Amino acid sequence: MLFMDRIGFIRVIACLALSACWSLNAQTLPQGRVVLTVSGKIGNPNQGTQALFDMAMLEALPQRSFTTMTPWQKEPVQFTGPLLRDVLAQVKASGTSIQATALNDYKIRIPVEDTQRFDVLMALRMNGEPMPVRTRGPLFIVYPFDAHAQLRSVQYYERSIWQLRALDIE
Amino acid sequence: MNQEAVRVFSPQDNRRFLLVLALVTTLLALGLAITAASVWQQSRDVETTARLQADSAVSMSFQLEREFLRTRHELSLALSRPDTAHWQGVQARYDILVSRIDLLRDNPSMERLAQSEAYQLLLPQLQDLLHAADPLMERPSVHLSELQAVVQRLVMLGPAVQALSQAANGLASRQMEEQLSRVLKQERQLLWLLIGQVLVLLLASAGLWWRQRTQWREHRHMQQLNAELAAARDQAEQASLAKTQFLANMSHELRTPFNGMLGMFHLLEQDQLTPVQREHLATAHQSARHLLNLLNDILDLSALDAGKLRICPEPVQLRAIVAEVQQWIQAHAEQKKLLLQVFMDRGCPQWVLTDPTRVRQILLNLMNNAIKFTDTGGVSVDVRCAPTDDEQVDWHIEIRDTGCGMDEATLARLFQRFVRADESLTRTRGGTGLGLEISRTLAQRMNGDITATSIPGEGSCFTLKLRTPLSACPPETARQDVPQASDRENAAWHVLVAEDHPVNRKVLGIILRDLGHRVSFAEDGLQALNMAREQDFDLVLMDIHMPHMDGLESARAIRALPGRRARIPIIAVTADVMNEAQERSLQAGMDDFIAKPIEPRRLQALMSASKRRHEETARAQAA
Repeated sequence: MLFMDRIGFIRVIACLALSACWSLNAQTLPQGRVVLTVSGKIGNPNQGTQALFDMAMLEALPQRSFTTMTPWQKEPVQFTGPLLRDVLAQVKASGTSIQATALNDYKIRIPVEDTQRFDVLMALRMNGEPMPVRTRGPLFIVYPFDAHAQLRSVQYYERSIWQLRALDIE
Repeated sequence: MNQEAVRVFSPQDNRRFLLVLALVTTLLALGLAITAASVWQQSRDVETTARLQADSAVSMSFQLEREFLRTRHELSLALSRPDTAHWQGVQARYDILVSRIDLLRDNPSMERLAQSEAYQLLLPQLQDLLHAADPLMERPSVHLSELQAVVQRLVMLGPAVQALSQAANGLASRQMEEQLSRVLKQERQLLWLLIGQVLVLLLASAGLWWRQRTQWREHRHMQQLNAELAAARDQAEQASLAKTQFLANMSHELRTPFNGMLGMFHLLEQDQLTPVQREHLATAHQSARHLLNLLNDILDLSALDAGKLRICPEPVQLRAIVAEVQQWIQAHAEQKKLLLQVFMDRGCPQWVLTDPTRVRQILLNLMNNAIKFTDTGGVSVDVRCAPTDDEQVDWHIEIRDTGCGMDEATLARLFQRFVRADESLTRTRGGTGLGLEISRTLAQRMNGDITATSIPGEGSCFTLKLRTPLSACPPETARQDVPQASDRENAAWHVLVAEDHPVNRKVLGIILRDLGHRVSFAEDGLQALNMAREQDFDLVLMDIHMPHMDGLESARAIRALPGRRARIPIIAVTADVMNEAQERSLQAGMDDFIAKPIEPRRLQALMSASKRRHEETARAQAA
């Protein structure tokens, strides 16, 4: 318990430090290849009206992970990455719905409310490995299907968008 | 009576019914369970379908075809203008295609499509192609000619990719159809199941209704039966009441002439008669007595049957009663030259609670019988007693004779109504045959019994057993004096006789005068009342049934007179021997009761006792 508490404490400190760091570097520009473009009603753009992210920027956000069954694989899969709500907070998104677009132009609308009600993940890793485009990476929005029965429906399967490239906050 | 056959439920019927009910319930529960299971299965099927079709094979194939075409288009476009080509975009497009091909494998949604010919034809070719194209796509700008060949292969694969889409589409349709037919089939099964359940329920409710109706009928039948039984009982009771009333009337009617007859015999005996006349008279007197005994027995028996004969316990000395009966019987025994001996256990308690009249009656009957059936030897009475734990005494009175005795068969029938020891014997010895039954019934009513043993030719032994509570010695005044034959120390009294019947008046007059008393007569209750009011009498003998004013009313009126004339001793005289007559006369304020026909000695004893009690009361009041 004591050990766990200490770890938890360190995490909190780390998070605080990181947030401080982020708010200082609000105008930080992506150094690597841009993997995510956020546009629309955001209060913290870093290029014009958009907020661009490279992999390192997303990896710098607090990482969460869960394991769940999906309709696309026979085995349960572990997903890791920042929570979608943390990404939205990072860009100071103020809309009510998100238009998500994939590399293959697949589009789906996700209510912002979903990110508050569930721990919706913007997965960067699958089973601990980074996801190339070939395995539906690099970004994959995943709902914790196994945690809530209501999520195991077409509606939420549709909203789980892979090969994500852009979010438009409306 | 209702002859309609009514079904009556036995315990077996009830058990069977419950069994059937349990079976029906189980059946219904089973049906419901199956229904529930089917519904659950259906919902699971639907859920699985939803999950699998969430990203169905159709959309997978469609997406694959789309990416296939886009990649082929972009690649061939880039190859046609290699210098200006945006190779990074082409690479990304290729990666997406690879991810799409990847999704065709190891995907639960694709399981069924994977079995189709189109899939099995296409997938190895696609994999071969990727195997060849992957290294080239690392650096596409240096492998232009090889990539040209890849485009050719992509073109050739076009129809196969399209075929997959078509296969997926067909599969989806078939799957839908299958699903639909399965659901329809399940629903039909459910419908049959429900119809079955409804039928079973209907049957069960019909069974319940039938049972209810039968039970109701049964109930109604029972009620009817009850009513009939009650009516029959009432009728029987009424008949019994009428019979008792008839007996009471007859008893009165029969006793009145008897009184006259016996009285006259008694008077005749005092006249001067020739020896022959005297013998004739004795025979007539004896016959009359016999007839009276018979009448008394019949009356007792009917009173017992009607439950009218009551046992009235009071403090008595049982030893005195035995001695008294012995005294009565003594003469009879002496006449037959028999030895009558009474042995009394000295340790017996003095006072016990029992009905003296009834004990006397039983002892008299048993001792009379013993003497009647004994010609030589004697009769011995042995009185013993043993205290019980609870303040009671068990009396054991043995009456043993040396008479003719009885065989087993006679002994067995002894206590039955109208059974006499021996028809031939009875003829010569008389008796009604009712005495023993009456005695035994009386004994049983007093917590006792009578048993008999006998050896033919040697004699019989009757044992009277009684259980009586102990009693304290009663106060002197309350003591019921046993009428003693020796009570003849009386002076001459002036007796008022109230009697409507002239013969009886005459008989009573003669008896009283014979006893040394003076007599005045009243012909009804009213006259008696007037005379009692105006003159001083020593005692009144009051007949109960009289015209104008009956004896009861007259006695009440006398008791209501002012002064000491109200306190005159009154003895009821009646031919009614039912218990009520006695009770009612005592309630009317009379002192005692004597039944007709009147025995002079008993009358004198009763009169003396009443007189003495009155004198004692008067003394007590004066003092």
